[in-house]
Amino acid sequence: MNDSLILATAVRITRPVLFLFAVVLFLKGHNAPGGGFIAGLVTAVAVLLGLLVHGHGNRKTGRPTFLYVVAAGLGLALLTAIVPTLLGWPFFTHSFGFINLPLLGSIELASAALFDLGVYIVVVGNVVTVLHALTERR
Amino acid sequence: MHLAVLTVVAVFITCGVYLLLDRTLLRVVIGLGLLSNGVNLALLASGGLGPGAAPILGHGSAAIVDPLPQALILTAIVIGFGVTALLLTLAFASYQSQLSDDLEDLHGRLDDE
Amino acid sequence: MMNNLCVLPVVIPMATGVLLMLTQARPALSRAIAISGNILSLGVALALVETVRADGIQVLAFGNWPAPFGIVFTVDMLSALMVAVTMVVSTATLLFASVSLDDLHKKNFFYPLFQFLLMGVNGAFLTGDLFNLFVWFEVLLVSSYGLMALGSQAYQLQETFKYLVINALSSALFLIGVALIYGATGTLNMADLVFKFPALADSGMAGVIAVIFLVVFGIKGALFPLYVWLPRAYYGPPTVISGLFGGLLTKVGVYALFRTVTLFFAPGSTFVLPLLSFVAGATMLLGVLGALSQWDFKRILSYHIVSQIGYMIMGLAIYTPLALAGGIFYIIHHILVKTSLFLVAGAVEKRYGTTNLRALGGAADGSPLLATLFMFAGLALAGAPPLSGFVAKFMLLRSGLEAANHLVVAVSLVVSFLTLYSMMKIYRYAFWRQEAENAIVVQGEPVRTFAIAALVTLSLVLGLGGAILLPYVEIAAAQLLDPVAWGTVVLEARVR
Repeated sequence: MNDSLILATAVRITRPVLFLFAVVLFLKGHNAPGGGFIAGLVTAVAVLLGLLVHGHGNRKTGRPTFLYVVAAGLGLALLTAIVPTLLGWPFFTHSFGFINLPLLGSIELASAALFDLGVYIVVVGNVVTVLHALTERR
Repeated sequence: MHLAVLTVVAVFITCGVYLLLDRTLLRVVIGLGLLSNGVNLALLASGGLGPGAAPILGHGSAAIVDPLPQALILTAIVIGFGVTALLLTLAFASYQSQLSDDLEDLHGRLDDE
Repeated sequence: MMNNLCVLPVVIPMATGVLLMLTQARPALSRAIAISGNILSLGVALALVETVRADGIQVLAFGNWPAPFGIVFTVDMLSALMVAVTMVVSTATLLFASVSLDDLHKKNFFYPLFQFLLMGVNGAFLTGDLFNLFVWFEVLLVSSYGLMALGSQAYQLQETFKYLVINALSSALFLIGVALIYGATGTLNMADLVFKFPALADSGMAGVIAVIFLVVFGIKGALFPLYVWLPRAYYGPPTVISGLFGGLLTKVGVYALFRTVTLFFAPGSTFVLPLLSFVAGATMLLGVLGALSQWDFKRILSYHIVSQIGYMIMGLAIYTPLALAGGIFYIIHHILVKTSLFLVAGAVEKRYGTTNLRALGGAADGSPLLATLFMFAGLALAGAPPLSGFVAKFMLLRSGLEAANHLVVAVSLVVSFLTLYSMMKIYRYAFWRQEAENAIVVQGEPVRTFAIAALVTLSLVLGLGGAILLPYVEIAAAQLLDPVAWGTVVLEARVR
């Protein structure tokens, strides 16, 4: 891949912004547009930009690692859904509570966010795997 | 409003079907993409197309939109994304092994009857 | 009855699949995990059947949101039986595959894809929500695309592409149907639809929706005239995978037809049942005629899948308690027998390196046990007593005569004879004659034979002891014919 100075510089600046944007989307997602899926896609775009600039690097380690990421995300989402059944509630029942933190005030903690985190991880792992598979030169 | 959306749906699906009938693998993939976008719009229309706020408790507004079709569309988009990625991979691998992405050209080449 | 047991047939394969993604570089470990996961799901499925028999229809509202607001899993006898038979054949197939696929296949995500396929199939059987049904269909289809292309031979890639495009098209139609139903009734919950769908009958919308769904499930279930994709697609993948597909996948489409037709499309419609009756006859006849013209073990079996689906739809089309019970019995019998036939083809292919009947011969000399098993399975497929096919066909024919649907009965009898001819042809060319010279001794033969023998024995048990399964399918048929009772149970299930 030809090195493009403009692209490389632009990516170096935009990548942190993209990651931050993903975090914002993820956190807003509970009560406003956003959520794990979109945040995952934004993160994956950031990774894709890195791929465009730097190429594949050490390709051998790229693909399987991200599949482990997918497995971890799936596992997390599944566990979030299973835990309520152990407490006698129907599958997928979510629960939430509020805690008070110094400085930040009352913060809502919801088990649905854990599920969303699972979704986020799956999306990142999945999209990156797909991009690797489609862009690598065979 | 409904008529406009339905016209767009019809255009999308028509173009999608036209491309599906093409012999080139890549156009088939694009056709399926158009088709599924048309279908997603149809899903959107199924919930009614009035103006309204997001249906969230405490953000009181008299008119709210039906959130269910949007959830359905999101699911359908995700599935469509996965399927399209798979299709592209298959088309690419098939092109690499046969050096052609023309179905007419491929036809009969691999039939071992 | 709210019961978390309902979701286990989905959760266990998913958890197993996730584990297998992590261990996929180590075939031996993967194999152990996959088989234990399967046996666990099998146990759960059998427990589910007994629970439904003892306590009636089971419901699980996800996230404690009651129907019709949340997604529900509803388990009546039909769902429970389908899940149970799915787990039986998949366990046998998994055993077979673990000794016949080479490491290259196994390392290409065979085990995880297999589990995700089971997850999708079980989900489709259990769900009580129309859109959720679509999602489960996609889960099983995406896994099946992966399995179908396993090995990445050029032929497979090409056929998988076509299979994928056809299924994506039918999924798009499915979504259009979902959109129409939601637009017209404002709900997608099947139980809710039981009460709201009849209101559409006057507007003509009901007919449009019914036709769209018949086409969708007709494509997925390989009905006339939408079956053309099947024989070529099922020829490509390794035989053991074709066996699982041939046994299970089309039957999910058939199950969806049984479910939706009995719940909303047949009551209050004048054209659905006669149309299905015609389709059933045509599917049987054209499928078997296709099989007669073939000279390949796997292709013949693939065409017979199509032909056999006609019988199941015949049960649905006649629409009496006996006919539905016969149809369900037929589905169960077919899943067992068809899978075992494909597995025999796989075992023969392992030994002689081909499935072309002209190149095969004398397999009865090389492996007499395999020949015996094929004979039983083939006779069961044709419907000879004392095997399971006989009981199923007897119920169907009797109900057809009682309903005075003579044409379809006549067609089904002719097709039975042609099926027998077709099985004799395979037997004569593959198992008799001089033994082919290219026989090789291959490892894992005992495990393969055991897997086939288990399925064939089950077919024999269901044939000789048809009375064992009969009460269950009768409960299933009775529940199918009373959608209002089903809907009431689902809608009134208490959440905590």
